[in-house]
Amino acid sequence: MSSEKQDWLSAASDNQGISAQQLDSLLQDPDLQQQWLRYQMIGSVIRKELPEQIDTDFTNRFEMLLEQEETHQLQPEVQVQLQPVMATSNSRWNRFKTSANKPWMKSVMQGAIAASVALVAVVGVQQNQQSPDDALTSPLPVLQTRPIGGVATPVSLSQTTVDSRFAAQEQQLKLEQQRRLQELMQARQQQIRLMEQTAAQRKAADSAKPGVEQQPHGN
Amino acid sequence: MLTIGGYFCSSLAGFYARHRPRCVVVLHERAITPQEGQRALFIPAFFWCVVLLLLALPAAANNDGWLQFERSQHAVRQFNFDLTFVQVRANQINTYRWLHGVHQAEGALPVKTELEQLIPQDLAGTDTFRRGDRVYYSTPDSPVQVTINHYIKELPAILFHDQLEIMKLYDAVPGSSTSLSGRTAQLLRLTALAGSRFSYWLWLDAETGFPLRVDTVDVDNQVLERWMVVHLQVKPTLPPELAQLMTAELPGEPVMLPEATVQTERQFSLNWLPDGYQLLSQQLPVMTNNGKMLASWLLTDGLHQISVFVQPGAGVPTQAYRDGATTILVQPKQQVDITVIGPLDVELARRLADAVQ
Repeated sequence: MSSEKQDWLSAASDNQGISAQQLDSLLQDPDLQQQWLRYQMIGSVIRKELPEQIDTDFTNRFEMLLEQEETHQLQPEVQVQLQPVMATSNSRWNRFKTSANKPWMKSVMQGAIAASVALVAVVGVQQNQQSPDDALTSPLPVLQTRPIGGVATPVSLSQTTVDSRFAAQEQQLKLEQQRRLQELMQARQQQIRLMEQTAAQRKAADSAKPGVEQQPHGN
Repeated sequence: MLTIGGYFCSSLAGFYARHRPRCVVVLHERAITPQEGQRALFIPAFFWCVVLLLLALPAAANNDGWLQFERSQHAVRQFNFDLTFVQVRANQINTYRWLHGVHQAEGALPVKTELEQLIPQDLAGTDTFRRGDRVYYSTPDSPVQVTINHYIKELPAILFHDQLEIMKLYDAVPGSSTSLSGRTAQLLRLTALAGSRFSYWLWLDAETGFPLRVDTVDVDNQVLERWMVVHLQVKPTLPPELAQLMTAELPGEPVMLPEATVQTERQFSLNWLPDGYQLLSQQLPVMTNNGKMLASWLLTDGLHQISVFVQPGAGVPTQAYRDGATTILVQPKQQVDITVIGPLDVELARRLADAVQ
């Protein structure tokens, strides 16, 4: 194998391009194919694409394993045994299926469906009519245990429970916080409103002052 | 645009080529008079001027957004109008009536004075007037406050602020046109150059350039706040309601603000500012009714303002709220509470609060 041959093959395995002639010779020459495989392998090693352990003659060993594998003979008796079982289990269902397509069976089924719908409708309507009657006829409670539009207050000596005291405190804090933020928002609004005036006034003050006094401001 | 420009260029060049020889012949036939010489000079000069103008046209196309913006700012300043707008925030809608007009003084000197009035419609609040550069805040049960302002700060600042300063912070990109309040509106996106700033989407009336809607959007184009005109009437003359304002007796000069007390601010300092913002020197110590203020700062990037307040701690956990495009962050630190209010996201607000020392 000349080095010239190897050069284009090496270049081709690096995706450098291959001419039609070269491709033909590669397809025909088993030596070149072997070399091609080797180049691809080298490339993969360099690019670190291979797994940690490479099994190079995996195909050969697999071939051997296949040869060692036992040959099994298919047993035709098994299928023969299965057939009667299927026939016995589905015989009635099959007979029903075949008769279902007959006209008398169709009319019977239609009748059955219509009858069941009618039954559900009658029972359902009767049930539905009962519930509003119940609501109307049920007596009003003699004693109202829950105040209208409010919650029941627990009956105890102290008016406020521990929980509600905490809730009130929290509410108080929240209100306080809200008021503080409101004030800050107002202060900010005031700041912005007076921004231009402040700048103008500062400018006037700066120009009025002698230059010596401006120096610390600049620093 | 370029192809059209090229076409004009070539046709002009053709025109020039056809006419120039005749000119030369004329010049050769007679003695050259000064006028002829001038004309001979004038034609090439004119030609080059036109070429330069055509070359400049594509560049001007990029500026189209800013031209539209300028038009809308001009409309807000120069038109006589009577409009109603709503301000929509996450959990509230406020309606205002906004009147504006330009008063032209009669006499030898045509002095123009802008007159403006902002009236809240659905809550008894502050009536705001503007006459020239004086803004008057009239609140029930308190005297009228006078300030120097070139526009009413409660209106969207983007419509009034100096365009050159806005150009430093935003990029103007014209969008599609849609129908808005029965008018054709052209979308103009003012996209913030820095991601931390909110962007503005303006819908401008195609006919007059008047702003019909201003959306403040965050980085994800979520609308935080919407300012929308629901009724607009552009008038040929000053609205009669404003004519009275011209002659109305209003307090003359704003109250001189007291000088800042420097020592209070020395206790605390701010060692970091968000990008593009600078500290404004505050002359007025901020007052609140009962809360003591230890220090306060006002930061501005020209268009937006961020306020930072330091108050004695009230034992509250860190809290962040959002009111439209305004973020409010309360952060306790040792014995003080730091509150940051401004149009910035919570992370930046937190960073600013951390910068207080």
